[in-house]
Amino acid sequence: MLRSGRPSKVYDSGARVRRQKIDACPIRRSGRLESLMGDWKTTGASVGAIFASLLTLGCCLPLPFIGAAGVAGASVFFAGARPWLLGLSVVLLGVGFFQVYRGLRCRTGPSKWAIACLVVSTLTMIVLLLFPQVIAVLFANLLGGRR
Amino acid sequence: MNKRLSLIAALSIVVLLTVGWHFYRGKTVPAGQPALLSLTAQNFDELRKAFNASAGDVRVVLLLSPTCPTCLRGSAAVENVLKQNSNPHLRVFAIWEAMLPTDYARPGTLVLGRLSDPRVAQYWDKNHLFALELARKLRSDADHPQPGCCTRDGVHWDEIIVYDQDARWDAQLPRAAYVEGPVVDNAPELSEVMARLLSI
Repeated sequence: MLRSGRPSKVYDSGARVRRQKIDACPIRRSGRLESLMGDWKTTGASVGAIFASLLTLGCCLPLPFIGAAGVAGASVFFAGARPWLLGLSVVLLGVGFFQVYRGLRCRTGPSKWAIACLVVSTLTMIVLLLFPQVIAVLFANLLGGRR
Repeated sequence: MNKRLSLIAALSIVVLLTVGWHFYRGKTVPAGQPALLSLTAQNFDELRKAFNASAGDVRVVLLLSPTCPTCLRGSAAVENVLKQNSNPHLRVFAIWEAMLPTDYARPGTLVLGRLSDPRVAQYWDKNHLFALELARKLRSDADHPQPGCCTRDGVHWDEIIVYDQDARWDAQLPRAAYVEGPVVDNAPELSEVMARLLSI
């Protein structure tokens, strides 16, 4: 670029744009570790959304960890908590999408793994909300209620 | 990249809707059963008439939620009990209730098909009309058998209620011979109660 001995205007402009992009991207600004943390936030939110939405079916499922914890009346708790768990799933998905949106403004963008997690969790949520009877039947069959 | 993602998302939604349509097409009950009736305050009397029309038979009422896996396991357990007892003097009224936030739709073919015996009649009781009637009876009759489980906000669900041949539903529900829940855990006992009543 500097072969001709003249500083390149394009180069200067490109560097400015890159610097602006990096400035607008807080998770990339501080280095690789933070960028990894950003991906984990997206993935964590996605996995959290899946987990929360699956717990909405937990009203009636003998979840092993609940038994281990010895929480009495857990089924009643989960039945009552269903609306909150559904809300939590939607909020976590929102967090995931925000993380990806923020990542898209960065030079490297969010990782494919984080996007894949988000897509899977979104699809899980859609299926759970639109076809709860299908999911309930699948769970019932898995738990031994197959006809 | 964005175009590709949008395409994948659109395709996924189309696939999901297709799968959903496949499972939800119609709310058809299995062959030999009367059509699914959605109970309202206006037509609730039809359930009472159907109940009284089968006087002389042992009648079993099931209160279930269509998106509760445990209730669905209960429906499969009752189906197995019915397979083991082919007595024609037996009627089952399966009442699907809206108990959970995901119970926003009437039970679909997939759910209704879990009780395929022709002695079963299935109902969708969004407003818990039968459960409230049962609660009234349980409150007013101190000697009535009481279920050990299951109510939510005072509404009974995931329960089996068995009425003998002489039971008649007039102003109030008759006294039940047996009331218990959850259905899946009490199916063996249901089998015994049915056999005992049918042998009388």
